[in-house]
Amino acid sequence: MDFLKTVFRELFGLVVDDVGFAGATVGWIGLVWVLATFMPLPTPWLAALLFGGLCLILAESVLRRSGEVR
Amino acid sequence: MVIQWTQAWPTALAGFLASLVEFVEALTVILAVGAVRGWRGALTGTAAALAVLLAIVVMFGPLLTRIPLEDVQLVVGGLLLLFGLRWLRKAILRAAGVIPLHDEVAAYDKETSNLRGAGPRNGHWDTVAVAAAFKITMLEGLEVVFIVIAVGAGGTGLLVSAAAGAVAALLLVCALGIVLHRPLAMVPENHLKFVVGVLLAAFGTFWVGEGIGLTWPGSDWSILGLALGFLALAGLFVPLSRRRAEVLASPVLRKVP
Repeated sequence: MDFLKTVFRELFGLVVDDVGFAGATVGWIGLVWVLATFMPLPTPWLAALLFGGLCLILAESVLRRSGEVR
Repeated sequence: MVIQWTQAWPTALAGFLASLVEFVEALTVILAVGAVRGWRGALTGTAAALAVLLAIVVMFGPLLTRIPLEDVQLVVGGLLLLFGLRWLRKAILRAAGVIPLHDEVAAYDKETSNLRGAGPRNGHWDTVAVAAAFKITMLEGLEVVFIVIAVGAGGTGLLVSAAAGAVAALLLVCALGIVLHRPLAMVPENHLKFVVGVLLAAFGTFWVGEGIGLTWPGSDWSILGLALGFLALAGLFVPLSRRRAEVLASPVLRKVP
């Protein structure tokens, strides 16, 4: 049972080690999905928007972690 | 079954590099188990885990082909994106010196120390050795299975490319492990993780976009564009991250006399 718990913890840890970072990523994907579904925007622009938002989320997370006192 | 080479070679490369990193980490622990507790237990645990992994792939792999491709791409791409961005974030922080670099020799020393302190073997089988080898092979192997499925989410042909990359990495690591009999510290693991993070983030973004129904400019070539974009961003943020960490850790800002 402990081994299964370890496996699930490791699998969860594969994709999430910072809840805020993971939450922002999923939220951004959801927002672009909503825009793609309900707004008549050209999809290449939405693709660029998806990539740009992910870059901003990554940059913010890196700078935030760098600012934490070691 | 037509595989476009613009997708096939990056898929195989991503499968190879990501799997190489995971196999190197598993090999370090298996070598430690073999050196301290004996090779019988180490190889038995490794073989058992490989058998379980194979059973998982055979049982659940065909189910993926029954799910609509767009749904697979959105869900698996989303997971790959989380995985890749997490990996890239960590690689940037390591390159900037904010978190320590991964060191296989240190990991090997720590593992051998733990195994020596685990007590003598109890009975015919060395359960400590079997369990340690089984656990690391299972955990790293699950990561490889996930990576292969995720980067090959575009269809069966790409899955074959990703799996071929992973098998090549497995053979390379096994051969080096048998020849060298020590942790593969010469593999530039931290640099590899940087490249793998870039590739996985690019594939994840591409599959998520495809899953949502977006049209990528340049079609498959946009994977290369996304990879270059993430690489440029990561290259820019390594010095920025280092500088920010140094400034905030300086005695003036921390009010240390």
